[in-house]
Parts: sequence; C-alpha cells; structure tokens
Amino acid sequence: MEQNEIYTNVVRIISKHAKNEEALKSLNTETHIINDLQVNSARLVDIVLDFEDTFNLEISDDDADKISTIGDAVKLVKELMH
Amino acid sequence: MQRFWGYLNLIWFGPLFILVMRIVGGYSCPEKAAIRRRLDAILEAHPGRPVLLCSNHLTMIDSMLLTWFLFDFKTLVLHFERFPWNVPELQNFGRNPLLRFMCYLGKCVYVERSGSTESRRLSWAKITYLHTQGEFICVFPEGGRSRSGRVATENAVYGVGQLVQDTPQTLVLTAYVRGIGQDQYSFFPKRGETFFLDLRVCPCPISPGRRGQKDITMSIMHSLEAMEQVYFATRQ
Repeated sequence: MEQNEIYTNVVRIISKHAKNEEALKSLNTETHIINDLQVNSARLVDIVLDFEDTFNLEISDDDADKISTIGDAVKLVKELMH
Repeated sequence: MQRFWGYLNLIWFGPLFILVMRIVGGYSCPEKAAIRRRLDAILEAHPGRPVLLCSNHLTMIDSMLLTWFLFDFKTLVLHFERFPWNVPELQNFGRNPLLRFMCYLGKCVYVERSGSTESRRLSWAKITYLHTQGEFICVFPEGGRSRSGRVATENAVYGVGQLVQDTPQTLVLTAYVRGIGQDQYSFFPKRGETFFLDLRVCPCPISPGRRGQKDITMSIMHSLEAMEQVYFATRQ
C-alpha cells in the first residue's frame, strides 16, 4: 500500500471521531488528533482497532501510545506493514 | 490509610449525608429496600468475588446516591469494603482543595483521562489492586454525565473492560438510577426528586486484548441500555 493510500485511510478513520469540523478542512501530518481534531481520548482505542482491521495488522499498546498526530499514525502503520 | 480515614469519616458524615439528602434534597427511592434485598441475595450467591458496580450517569452526586440507595448505614459500618471506590476525573474533582479532601474521605482514586499514559496506568493499577483486595468499585462507563439524558453507548470508556480483564472473577453489577423528573443531565437532581433504581448481574464474556476490553464494556453498556428501555417502557 502506497503512503498516499495509507494517509487517506488514516484520515478517513480518524475523521469519523473528530469533533472539530473546522480542523478537518485543513488536515496535514502535523494535525494533533486530540488537541486539534478534538477526538475524545476514549475513542483512540476505536481508531486503533479500525487501523488494525483496515490495514490487517496488530498494534501493541506501546505503539498505540506513540500516536499523537496524523503523521504519527501514518508512520506507524507504514512501519508495521513493511 | 485512605480507607481508615474514610471509615472514620463515614461514622459522622454518613448519617449527616442521608439527613441532608432527605431533608434538603427531599430525595427518595421507593425501590431501595427491594434492591438492597436483591443485592444481598446476589452477593450471597457469588461469595468472594470482587464486585464492580457500573452505573449510568446524569448528575454529579450519582455515586453518593447510589451508595445510599444500595447500602444501609449498618451494612457500610460492618462491611466498609462495600462502600465503593470511585474513579472521578481529576479535572472535575481534584482541583478544589475542599472537594479533593472530601473525595479522599469518600474513597476516590483520581484518573486523568487526557493525562499521560503513566498517570492513567498508575490510577488503574491502584483501582485494580483495591478491586483484588475485595473492595467494591463503582464506575460510570459513559465516562461522564450523558449529554443526551440517555445511556450514551457511543461515549463508552473501555478502561472498565480492562479492569474486568485484569480480574476475570469480577462480579459485574449494572445499576440504573434516574430521577423520575430528570430529562437531561444536571449538577444536582431536582429538589424533591423520586428515584427509579434497578440492579442486574451483567455477564461479561472475557476475551483478551483491546478488542476484548471493548466487548466487555459493550456488554455493560447494553445491560444499561436494556434497563433504560424498561424504565421508559414502564412510564409510557
């Protein structure tokens, strides 16, 4: 899977849980999932589960804790897929 | 140590609290005696299991009301482990020194949901320890007061599932408490409020991992939803 495809899927998954719709219009790899998109911290588990289903991989708790921005998520998924 | 001070506090604050709730609040719960008998029967049927109480959440004093409705004063004096530990959010209850002191005496372990992983792990380690020691734990799996006034399954916090996973012998009880006049969430219930109360054993299938935590939590949420449906059906 290409980086662009990973990015698109990551954004699609995270966007479902975003409360700040304005921030969705200007997404980039630096966008903070909790601070900028105002995703409820409890929903991060759903996001990680969605990543696992979509990309067919397993994410450890330690790896999941490293996800703060969209870029972190894309980087982690890419690393785990290769 | 916290348990010890909490016990001493119960002796004088318990009766005062009930008096204030009855006289100032005008609160009552007609099902109270029947539910207490039901709880006693459940505990007798499941001896020695750690108990996790999971409730819906509409007001800031839900945990205190629940404790009052579920246990008489004598029971709490003789079995202080049944006075449930609560897991309030630090931002809500930990900033004001007086509130913090009262929460300390009222068996609370703070959690900072948006805090560091270490801080959250420490809070859950404390709760898990207390749970395995036979102390009752009370949690609100919705993570906060429901803004819709209904059980907010979409806001479920999966930490409750983790607690059950870590202690698989846990007896999970779901409690639905609601003032008859409570349409939305609020700080306090309305004055003179009469409360509906229901209590069930919630069987939770235990499976590992993050997905298992979600499944356990969803079992609890579905039990609360079912109780809510019964509540509204009987009031139509």
